[in-house]
Amino acid sequence: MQDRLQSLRERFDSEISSAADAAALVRIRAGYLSRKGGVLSQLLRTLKEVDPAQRPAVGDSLNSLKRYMEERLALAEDSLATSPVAQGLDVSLPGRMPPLGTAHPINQVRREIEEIFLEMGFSLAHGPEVETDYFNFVALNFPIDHPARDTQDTFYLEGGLLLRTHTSPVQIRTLKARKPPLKIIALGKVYRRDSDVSHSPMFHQVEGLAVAEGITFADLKGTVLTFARRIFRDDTQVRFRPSYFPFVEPGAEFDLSCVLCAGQGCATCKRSGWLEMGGAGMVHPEVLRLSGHDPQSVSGFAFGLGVDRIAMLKFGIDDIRLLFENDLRFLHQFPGS
Amino acid sequence: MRFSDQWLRDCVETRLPPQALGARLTEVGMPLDSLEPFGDDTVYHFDVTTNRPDCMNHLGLGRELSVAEGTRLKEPSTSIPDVSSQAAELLASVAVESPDLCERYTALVIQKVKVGASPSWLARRLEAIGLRPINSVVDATNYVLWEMGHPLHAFDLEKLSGRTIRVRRAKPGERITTLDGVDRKLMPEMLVIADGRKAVAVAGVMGGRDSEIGAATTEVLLESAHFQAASVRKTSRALGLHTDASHRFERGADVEMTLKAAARCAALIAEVTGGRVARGVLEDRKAPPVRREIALRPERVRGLLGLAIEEQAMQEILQRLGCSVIRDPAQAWRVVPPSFRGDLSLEEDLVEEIARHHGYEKIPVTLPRVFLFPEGRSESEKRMDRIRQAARHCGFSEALNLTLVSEAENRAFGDTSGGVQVLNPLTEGEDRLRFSLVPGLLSNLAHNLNHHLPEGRLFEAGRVFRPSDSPSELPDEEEKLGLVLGGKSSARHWGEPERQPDFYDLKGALDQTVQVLGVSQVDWKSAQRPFLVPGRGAEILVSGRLLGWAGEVAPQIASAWDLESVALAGEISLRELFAVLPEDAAFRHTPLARTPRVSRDLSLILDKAHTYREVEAAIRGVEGIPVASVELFDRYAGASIPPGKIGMSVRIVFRSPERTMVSEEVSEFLDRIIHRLRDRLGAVLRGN
Repeated sequence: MQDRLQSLRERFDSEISSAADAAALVRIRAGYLSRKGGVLSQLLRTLKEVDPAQRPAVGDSLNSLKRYMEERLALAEDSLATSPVAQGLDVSLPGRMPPLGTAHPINQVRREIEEIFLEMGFSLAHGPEVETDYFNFVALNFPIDHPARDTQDTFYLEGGLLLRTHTSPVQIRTLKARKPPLKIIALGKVYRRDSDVSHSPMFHQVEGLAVAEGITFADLKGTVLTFARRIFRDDTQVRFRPSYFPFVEPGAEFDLSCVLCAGQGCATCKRSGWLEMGGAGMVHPEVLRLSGHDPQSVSGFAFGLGVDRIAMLKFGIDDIRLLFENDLRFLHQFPGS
Repeated sequence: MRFSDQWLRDCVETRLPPQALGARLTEVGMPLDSLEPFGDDTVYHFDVTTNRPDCMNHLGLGRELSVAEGTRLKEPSTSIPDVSSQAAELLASVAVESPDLCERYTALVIQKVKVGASPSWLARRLEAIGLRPINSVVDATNYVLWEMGHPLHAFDLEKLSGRTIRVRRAKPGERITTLDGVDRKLMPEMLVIADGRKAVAVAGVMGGRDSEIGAATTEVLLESAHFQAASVRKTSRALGLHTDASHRFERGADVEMTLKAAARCAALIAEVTGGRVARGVLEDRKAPPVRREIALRPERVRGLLGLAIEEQAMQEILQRLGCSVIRDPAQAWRVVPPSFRGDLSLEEDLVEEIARHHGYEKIPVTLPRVFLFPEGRSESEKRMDRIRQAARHCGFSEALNLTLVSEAENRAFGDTSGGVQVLNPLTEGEDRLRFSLVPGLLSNLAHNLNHHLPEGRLFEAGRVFRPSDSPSELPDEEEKLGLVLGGKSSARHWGEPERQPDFYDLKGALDQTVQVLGVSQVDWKSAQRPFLVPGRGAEILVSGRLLGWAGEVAPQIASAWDLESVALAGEISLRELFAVLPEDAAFRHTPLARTPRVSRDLSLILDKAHTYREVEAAIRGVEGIPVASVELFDRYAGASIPPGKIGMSVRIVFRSPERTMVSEEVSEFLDRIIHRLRDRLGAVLRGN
């Protein structure tokens, strides 16, 4: 019996030292110690058939072998648990990632702007990028040969057409197509003959327009402030300054407290604490009249601002050309959508 | 526009230091761009808007500050000084022959001038605002322009033929050499100042060289006129000549200013040249315009601004700005703006004046109280978003390219017209509107691959342009989706072999992108395009409608775009796609079949000329057999396949919606399919 126990022990030792993984240890434990099929368990059950004189000694040997096996198994299991490779997989190897493309940062910002205004009850409006002189200028109270046109750096096409210099023609298209009350934003590409670090001949604008009975300049301020706080930070301040655009009266430009330094003064805001953001004002009565509305019964506000500029401020981009170079090392930095 | 701090302080009382002065003017709509020291002076750069020519001078800007700060404006004397006994009308004459373009022409004569260099205080002022001193007479005219805002011109009276001024349109073929030395051809619609023989100045733009003031000048005819804004603007643009004078005239000058400015300037010329001003004014003018009266309702001011402002405050602001105000408690107020404020003609203009000087910051912050049903995104906006998302999920990153391209780029991708042309492009290579998204995307791909990325996948969803039949009609703007893919190896995992991207990578991405929008069946037909490798291009159709094309980019295109490895490209029209899509609202799910499925594999050998599409159509075309799906799981050629043949293995899944099928029935189905494949395509089973 003792010989048999000794050979059992040797077989156990060799199996356990060649066990490569947890699964092997489970098999060994089952083979020796499981209550039903384990070799040692079976031997213990045959103890009552052993000569009563030898029974205590055989019992001791069996029990000590059992303890030995349990200890060695526990040790082996422990060492496997702390050795990553032996456990099976090297889980630190790279996984199979399905390729995932990213949304262009301008389109991410576009979506964000749209969401904010949609939640404020605005609708989305669209218009063509090639426009007539009438929609881009005349209906917006820029008469033919007016010096205010000089500021627009217009690209002209044949047949008197042009590339829209602002999203404001969508105001006219909306006012001609719909009856007040209305609240819309129009977001899209616009074009100016200008190209440097902060100007691209093509860029993006968002235009807001609200026309109804009793719309006030105070409503304009509230709408722009709400937007500014949602898109940047909730302590953003907005400053309105008188300015001139032919299609609004009173007219304004608005600045935001610098979103980078919170108005303390930094390189981005040229130490002024303010960032110039866009133009705004009350819809000019001539604009309402030209598009078929009575300026005595409805009033409205309009505002416009640069989408690319918002993206550049949000993401700390200081060269607008990066936005249109489409370098994947750049685009992949914007995993949001 | 440059302003001198010292000069400004001559015009208005203020104790504000320069920085604060600039900030205060910014608040009332004269934004300070920057300021810098200039000797013991400070130079401001203000952006004066085009509607405020009255502020394009020190007195005018000072007026805004005086209204804002409630301090005194220090206007210079405009009485004619030191009159000599000579009568101006005996020395010269003026006549306006085109009164439609010149409302008023005023002139003074100064005699016995000694032209020399200006005194240093005058020269310094001009230098501060960036002007080069010329001589004492010319400098005096420039000084008054920058002080009071009215452009003036000094002629050497002795050089004026017949000592006369005629304000008329240019004669056909007439020419003039302007002060800058350029000989210019005049057009008959241009207004000129002429003497008895010829044009001596381009009205409101620039004087002529022949009558310019020089060291020998002793008699000066000083012109102070009012020219029509549009006429000056047209002439200035036609001649390509933009001057301080034209800048102001084209924005609107003050007709009441001509004599005041002339008097001020004559006094200055007399002071700096020792000359004597002749008695009397030479003038030809139309009847003064009727003063515009604007009706103003205080409740309209409050209503438009959303601001509770006192009537007294409104009145004070308007009066300080120079308006006359008649308050009538029963009716609207009657407000007459000063003659230099040509920009004020509507009630809303006065609302702005009041708001501006009351302070925009005092206007409350509210939100519109408007009841509107929120519309949310439209169906097509949602679809645009989904198509972008689907392309991203296929591993394509979104690009945004300039819409401005070259004609060659358009032509290379099938635009026979060359595209919509921009008449005044910034650069030659950006003088067309894009006809396709692919040229831009291929440039992006090349940029990325040449920056050592092993693979690039890019898409763009945006508009392309096609000229309309008539040049005055808007071109067609169509939303398209373009995809490009290329490089040396597709995105790989350490456990898998490297491989080059191929047509089927692009096809799968396009199929999946379109399917996300609810299209179940996309048809791909082999097709040629000049910009694709022959035999490796396809047309994409849905419900018989051509959506676009896809394929491997032809070598001549790849090399023109600087692409060294294989590139695949495709483009579909989203307008065409959206036209065949069912409405999202019409979507219903298909209940899941609860009956068991039975699948069988067939390994076929057939002529290479046959397509997989034919195989699947043949299988599905057998009537009365409940085929749930057909899937190709292998396609092979090689030693075991005879030349000219191809092997295809397909798995066919049968499922009856009503009941469990028995195996005899499935065998019979399979037999019928095999017969049909043999009859239609000559396909045989492998191993038979």
